[in-house]
Amino acid sequence: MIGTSIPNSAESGLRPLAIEEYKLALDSASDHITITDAHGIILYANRAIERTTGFSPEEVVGKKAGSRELWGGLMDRAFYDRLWTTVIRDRQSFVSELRNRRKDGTVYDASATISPILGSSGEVEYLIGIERDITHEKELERAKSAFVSLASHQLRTPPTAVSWIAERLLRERFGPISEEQRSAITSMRDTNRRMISILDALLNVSRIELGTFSITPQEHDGCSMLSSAVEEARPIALGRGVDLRFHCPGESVVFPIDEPLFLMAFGNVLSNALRYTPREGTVDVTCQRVSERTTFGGRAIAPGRWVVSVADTGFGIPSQAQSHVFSKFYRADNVRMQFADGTGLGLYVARSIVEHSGGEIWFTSREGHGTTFFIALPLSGMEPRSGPHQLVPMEMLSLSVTQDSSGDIPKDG
Amino acid sequence: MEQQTNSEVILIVEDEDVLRKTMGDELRDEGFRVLIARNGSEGLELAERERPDLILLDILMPVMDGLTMMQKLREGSEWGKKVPIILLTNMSASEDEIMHAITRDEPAYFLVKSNYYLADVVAKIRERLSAPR
Repeated sequence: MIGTSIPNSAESGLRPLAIEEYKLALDSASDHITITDAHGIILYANRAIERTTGFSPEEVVGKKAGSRELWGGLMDRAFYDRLWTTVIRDRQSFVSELRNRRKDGTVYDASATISPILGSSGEVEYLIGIERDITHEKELERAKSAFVSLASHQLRTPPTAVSWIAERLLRERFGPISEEQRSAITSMRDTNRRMISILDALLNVSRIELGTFSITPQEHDGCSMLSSAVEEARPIALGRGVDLRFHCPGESVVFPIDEPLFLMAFGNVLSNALRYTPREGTVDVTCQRVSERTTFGGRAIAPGRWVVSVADTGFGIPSQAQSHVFSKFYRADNVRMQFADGTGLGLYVARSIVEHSGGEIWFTSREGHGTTFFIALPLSGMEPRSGPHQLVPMEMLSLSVTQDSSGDIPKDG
Repeated sequence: MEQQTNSEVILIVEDEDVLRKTMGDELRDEGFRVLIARNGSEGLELAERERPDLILLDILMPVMDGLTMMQKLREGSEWGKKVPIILLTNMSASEDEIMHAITRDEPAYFLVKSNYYLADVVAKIRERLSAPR
């Protein structure tokens, strides 16, 4: 939404209100509202500001909104840059969640909208900031994620036990079994593995949402890492009758990568490609170091990045589904009909890993023709972050193998 | 039971009855001699007395957890410093804590139970037992 212009009250047809009446309305609002000049210097603040920030309107007028002196300064530089670029240069409303600090030092979560008001020349004259305290909502969200995390720990023991016992039955530790029994027990074991892999995915989602996972990059050769991941997936491709090809220009590309995390993101993308490509189709994995500005799948990538692509000739993503594919639990209708068992979490996890480490992930797709996913990582390295947990390896590829062996794969056209 | 007298001894320290029994039965079927303990405190006592060739150690347990048991074992005796340990986890503890304990208390390895078939755990045990110590 582009900034609003200052209204001409004669045109609105409403009874002109005394300024005191407007103030009364603003002061009874539960959200805190500030009006600042184009530099963010507060001209007016309503009474609710005292409830959220602890500062009275009288204390804040004349100071810079969201400055360290008041309630701000907790977000990083890039956040404030983005805010000012949006409202001043682009003259757009800025909407975001952020963390602020009250007068007494306590931190609160807020949801803020900052909108520019334009003068007659189209220049930003005022900014209107509306902020709501969402600390309670955020706490609930964190409690929910912590619950999911705890539950998925507790829930994994029973299926592990069933899977191990099934394995002993299959090894005929309790005596010979018939072919029918073997097939039934195999289904039992594989179903349990699926349950475990859903729990793994849920646990990862909760670790992503709680922000408790670490990224520990070390020097690795991206090409050879990809090459071994592709080789590991080759039996699955063979089993599904898909031609899996790998192309990486000769030289090695050594830079700081968190190997398990990167392979999880890449593995999720690759296993989708293998799964959603019919027999006789192809999946092409390539990687390249970007040395001059290059466009990949409609996105211009600056030098200093390493781009991996996974192109398939599969079912493709319907256009109305394309904006949702990275959302949690989302599965497009065309694949959900054929494959009931996906979690809808693979690409969400992949995107979280890539974006948290300073990279980008995107795709182009045409339904009925295929999809190409791209992952770009900075050659300066994945950005490290500390946290008490690692993400659980998601064994989606090996899962597909067990499905193959149970003959469960639908006949694709 | 003749063949088992010369076989290697594995101590399983695990509080979940079904997991402990299933793992124990499988290892016996694979020709190992198996000792079992239900928590770190029982495990520590049994380990010091019987000196098994390898310990499979759960992490989250009542009375004494696996990481504490491992630390006490490593500090307790020359034998305790060297006995190979495979930590079994269900991702419940903080992995950073585990990794820290492992780097401090080599040699120990760490497997996520739910991600492994029994056969993988057995293979890991054989690999550890044949590795130079």
